Amino acid sequence: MDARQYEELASRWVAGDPLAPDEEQLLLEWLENRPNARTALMDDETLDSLLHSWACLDETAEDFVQDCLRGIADAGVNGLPAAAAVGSPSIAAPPVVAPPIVVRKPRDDAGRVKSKGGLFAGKTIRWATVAAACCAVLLVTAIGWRWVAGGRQPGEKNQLASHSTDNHIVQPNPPGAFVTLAKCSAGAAWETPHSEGDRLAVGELKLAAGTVELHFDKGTVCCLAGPATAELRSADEVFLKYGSVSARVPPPAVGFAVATPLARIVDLGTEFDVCVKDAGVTETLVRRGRISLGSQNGQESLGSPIELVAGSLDRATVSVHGLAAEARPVTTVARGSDGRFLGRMTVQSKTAEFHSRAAFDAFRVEAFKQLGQDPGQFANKWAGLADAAVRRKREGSPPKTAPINPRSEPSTAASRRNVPPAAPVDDQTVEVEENGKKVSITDSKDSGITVTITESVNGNKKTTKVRAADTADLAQKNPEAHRFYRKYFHPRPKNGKSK
Amino acid sequence: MAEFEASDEVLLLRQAASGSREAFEQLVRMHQAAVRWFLLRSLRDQAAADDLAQDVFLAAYQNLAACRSEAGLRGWLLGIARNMAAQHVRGESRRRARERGPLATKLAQWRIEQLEQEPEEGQEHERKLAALRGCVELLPPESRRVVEEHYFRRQSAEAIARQKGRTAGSVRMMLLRVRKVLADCMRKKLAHYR
Repeated sequence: MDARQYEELASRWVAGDPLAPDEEQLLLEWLENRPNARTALMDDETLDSLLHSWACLDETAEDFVQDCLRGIADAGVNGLPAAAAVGSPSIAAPPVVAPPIVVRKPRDDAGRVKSKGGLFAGKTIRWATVAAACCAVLLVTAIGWRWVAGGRQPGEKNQLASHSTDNHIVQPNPPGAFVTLAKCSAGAAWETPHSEGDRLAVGELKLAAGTVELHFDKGTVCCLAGPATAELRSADEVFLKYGSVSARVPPPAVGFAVATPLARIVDLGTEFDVCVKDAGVTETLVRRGRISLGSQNGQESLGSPIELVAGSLDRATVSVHGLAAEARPVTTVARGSDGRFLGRMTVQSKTAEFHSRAAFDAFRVEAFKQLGQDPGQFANKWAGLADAAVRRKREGSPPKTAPINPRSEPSTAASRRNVPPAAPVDDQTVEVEENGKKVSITDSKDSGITVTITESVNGNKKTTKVRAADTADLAQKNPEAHRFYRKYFHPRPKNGKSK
Repeated sequence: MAEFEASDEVLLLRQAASGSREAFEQLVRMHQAAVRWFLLRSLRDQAAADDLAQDVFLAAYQNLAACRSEAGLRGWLLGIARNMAAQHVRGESRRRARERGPLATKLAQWRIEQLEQEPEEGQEHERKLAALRGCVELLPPESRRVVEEHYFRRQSAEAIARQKGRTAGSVRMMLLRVRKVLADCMRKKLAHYR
């Protein structure tokens, strides 16, 4: 490897792009033999992170301070006077569940929307930090951009904004409003009449340029980047027709969904990005946690959803072949940074699924060939094609990569649970203790997930046992159990018990 | 920190140790940026850094009596942060060795070594942040635009490449070189302080 090749690999590594195993090995050998290069790479990684996050430190300082104090109060640390904790709204503020009654968010002297310290008050302190980070990203966009472009300091009047919020007539709090348009970047330009501070109900949003931040009352924060067309459908769902959105979903809002023309992404406690391109092509990336990704054609769901997991099988693209009007094959290609692969093609609710890129590509070529030859008859041919693929898989060689769902048979039918690639082959139990609650989590190939929470309530021992088929089921049945599962359960390949 | 004199800190420490929430709140406000900056540098993950920073202040609150004021609260907090960061990186490295691959695991080990050898930062973070801000302003327009698009507007290398009619690889290389320029610029600026 020469210096140029090293630079290319290093730039991809720092950018977070997956390297092939041989490339990773080359880079590793280079760094092992060159301490200076090693230090330079680590410094470069650090600078990259700092550039991504620097403005957050200032902008989220107050949120952080309040989170700390709530954390101390929640942990019941000795020394913090109980009276102060109870009497102080910054420590003991109740969780916000009802929609805010104000039309606009409070602003500081400089006219900026104030930070939302308290929005996630209560038990979800850590998520408050995460949510603050999300806001900060947009603040970096708004403040950092102004600062870099014009050399002004944050808080100075922005003369570059396409739409000044000063001239906008404040939208009254419409009936059924569930979203606050919290922040707009300097370059935000609307096609629909919206402005920072508006309260929004069901309806369409058209953003020509820039980025805006939507605060759902349940706690989800969505960063919408233009050009984008989106429709607020409910307090738990947004339809993204075009453009991109980054969502951060705190535990109380688990189940939040982003629908697109070709997919439906349901949060399982997470942070994820969705981008919709021409023809509804949908790309999604899980940054933290898990999501469920279902493909659909219009309103019709196609097959069972797959689960994407941060750090594993974490990105997917859903696209459609537009030739056949009646039977449009919807393709889902999911990939992991570790080389894992899942390819699916669905036509009229019948799915062919592959865990090998080569097998999937070969199948796709064959399917599109048949489609091109006779689009009108493709629907009839599809069932035969998909069934033949499944037979070949059952009879032929095993997939080259590890199966996405080791528990399910290769089948066109819906699988019970699409576990992440690192899911345990056998049972695995984790036992932890948090704030006086003893938690036992078991993930079993036969009986699914069982979370047992034992705590003392008024001096009596109380045990809550939750059984669930999968993480989505668990999130629905008991959000707290789901939170414990996400926080403490780290699947490993061998059977065993960890503590 | 500039607003507070050392004597203020001693007083606040004393009040916090005897249970004053307001005093501790003030101390968190004074030192949060240094602790979060340090952890962000060590972990490269803002959410994880902030989570750990909360743990640092929680641990500090539980052990306020152990903090000797003459050693400086910031140094003490950064010491806790360093230990926690090393522990976190070590734990993550072990836990995720399989999924992260050999390079990430090795880099985590090197990062721990670097953490353990690094001198205390003290006021460094304020200077480094000021240096970084100053250096971004000095970038040539084209480089500054790429920094703005990628880091401030969260555009991926692919998206920037499409806008500019270049390849994603060339944008990533450009970002790498811009970061090198920034690192050199920061080194020069920081040398003035020493």
